[in-house]
Amino acid sequence: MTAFEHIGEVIEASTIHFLSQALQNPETGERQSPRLGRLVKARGEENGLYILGVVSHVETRSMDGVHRPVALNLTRRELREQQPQIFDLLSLEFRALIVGYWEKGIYYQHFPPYPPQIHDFTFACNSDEVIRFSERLFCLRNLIEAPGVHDEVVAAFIRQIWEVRGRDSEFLLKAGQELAYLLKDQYERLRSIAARLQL
Amino acid sequence: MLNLAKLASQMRHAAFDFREEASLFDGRRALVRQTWNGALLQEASLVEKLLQAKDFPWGSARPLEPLNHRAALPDLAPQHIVLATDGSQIVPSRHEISPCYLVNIGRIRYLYGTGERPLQESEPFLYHREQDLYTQVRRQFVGVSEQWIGLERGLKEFEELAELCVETRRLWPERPVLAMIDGSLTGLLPELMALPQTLQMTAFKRLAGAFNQIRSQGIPLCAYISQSRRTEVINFLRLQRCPYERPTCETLCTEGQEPCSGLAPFPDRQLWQDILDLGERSPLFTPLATTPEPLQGHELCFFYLHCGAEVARIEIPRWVADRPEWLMAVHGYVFSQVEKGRGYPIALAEAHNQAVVKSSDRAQFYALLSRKLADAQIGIQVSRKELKKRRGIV
Repeated sequence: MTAFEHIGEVIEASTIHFLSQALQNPETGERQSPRLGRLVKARGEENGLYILGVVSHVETRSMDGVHRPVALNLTRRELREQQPQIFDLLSLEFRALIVGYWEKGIYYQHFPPYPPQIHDFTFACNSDEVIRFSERLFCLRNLIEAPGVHDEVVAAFIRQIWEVRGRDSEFLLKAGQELAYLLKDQYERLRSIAARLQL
Repeated sequence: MLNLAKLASQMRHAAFDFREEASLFDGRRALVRQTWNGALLQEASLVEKLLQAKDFPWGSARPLEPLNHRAALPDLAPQHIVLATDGSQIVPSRHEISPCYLVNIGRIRYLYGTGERPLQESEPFLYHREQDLYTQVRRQFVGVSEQWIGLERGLKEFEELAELCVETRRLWPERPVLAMIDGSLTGLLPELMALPQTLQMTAFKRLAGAFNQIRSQGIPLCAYISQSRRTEVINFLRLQRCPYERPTCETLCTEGQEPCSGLAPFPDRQLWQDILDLGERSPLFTPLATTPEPLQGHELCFFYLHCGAEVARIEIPRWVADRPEWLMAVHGYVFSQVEKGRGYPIALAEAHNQAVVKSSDRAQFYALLSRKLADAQIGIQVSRKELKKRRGIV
C-alpha cells in the first residue's frame, strides 16, 4: 500500500468511525473536502494498520466561538486578496464510517482491533486500493447498519467504486445483489438506495 | 454574588443622571463648534499664545498643519502588508501553585492583494526566575505588581512588533508595510515614570530600541485608539475663549470658573466627528508635553480619522509624520483595515484574539504547570484560600 499525501488528521475516533480535520492547502490556507462516499484511510504509524472508512459527513464552520461567518460579497479571489485571514479561521471536518482495515498486505472487511489514534494522518485511497478493497462487499452491512447513516452515503460509496472500476456493470450487479440480501426485509430502503444508484 | 434587585434602583438613578448629562453635552457641542470656527480665523496668534502661556494646566497640542486642513483618503496600491501585535497576561497569584506569570503576544501579518498566506499566531513568555518576580527597590525585595506586568507586556508588544518588522522586511524588501498597535504609543509612559531609576533606564532602552528597529526597517508605525477620551485639541481651543493676552491661569483665574471652562469635558473625537467626512483625516498635532530624553526622535504626533463607524485617534512617531508617503500609508491603510474589520482594524482584532487568555486557558496553564512541577518532583501547594474559593461548604 503506497502512502499518498495526507488530506487530513484524525481528531476524534472510536471503534465505528473517525473524524478528521481537513488539511490546509499550504499556499492558500483553504481546506478541501473529500467527496461524500469516498474511501479514506487513517494510517497507524506504529501498529502498521491502515483503517479504512467511508466519508459519511462533512461539516465546515468557524474554528471557534469568537468568529461568526458573515456574507462579505466577495469572490473567492477577492477573499484571498482582501480578507486573507479567514481561511485560517475556518474548519472543515469529515467523518468516516469504518468499513475495514489493511494489515500486512491483506484487506479485511471487518472492524480493526483498535480504532485510529488521534493525530493519525488521513489519506484518500487511490484507485488500486479502492479496487482491491471492493473485491468483496461484506462491509456494506456495517455501512447500512451504522446508526444515522443516510442512504445517500451508501449510494455514493457504490457509485464511487463503480466509477473507479471503469463503470463496471458486473460490479454494480454484485453490489445490488448484496444490498438485496442485506435489505430483504426493508423494501423501502432498498428502493431508496437503488433510486440513488441511477447512473 | 451580585444582588441585582438592590442594584436596579441605583441604576435607575444612574440612567437619570446620564440623561441630564446628555443634554448638557449638546450645549457644549455647540459652544465647541462656535469656538472652533473662531479659532480658524486667528490660528497663528492662538499657537503663539499657547507657546507663551505660563503654567497652562491642561494638556494641549500644537497643530503641525493648518487647522482647516482635511486630507482626503489617499489612493494607495492594493498590494501591501499589515503587521500587528497585541498582548495579554496571566498575573501571578500567591494563592496558586507557583508564583510565576505569563505574557502572551498575538502576532499578525496580513499580505493584501496577492493571496499569500497570512501569519496568525501567539507567542507565550513565562516569567519564573527570581529577578522576574521580585524587584529590588531601595534594598528591599518587592513582588512584581500588576502594573509592572502590564508594562512588561506593553514592552513585549513593541519588541515583538519590531521583530516582525525585521522578518517581514527581509522576506518582502519592496512591499509597502504598516505596523500597528492597539492603544496609545505613549501608553506605557505613566508606568515607566513610576519605576525606580535603574529599572526605568532599562525599560526606556527597550522601548526606544523597538522604535528604532521599526524605523530602521523603513516601516511606518501607528497606534489606533478607539473611543479616545483625549482632549488636547479642545484644550487648545480654550485659548480662543481666554480673554487674557498672556494666559497665566494660576494667578488670573479661579479654579472651576475660568472663562474657558465651558468647553470641558468634551473629547476631541466628538469635534472631529462633526467636521470630518468619511475617510478624511484631521490636521496633524503634536502634544506640548515634553518627550522623555531616551525617546527623543520619536516625539508623539496624532491625527483623527473618520473611519465610518467612529472617529479614531491615530498616533504616530514624529519620523512617520515627517514623511508624507508614510503619513499617507498610515491614513489609507488604517482606513482600509477598519473597513475590512467592519468597524475596527482587522489585524488588531485578530492580534487580540490570538493573544487573549481565556479562563479555561488559565486553568489549563496552572494544570500544566502543576504537572511539570510534579514531574520535577517539586512539592506543590495551592493556598487554603484558593481551595476554599473552588469548593464551598453548606
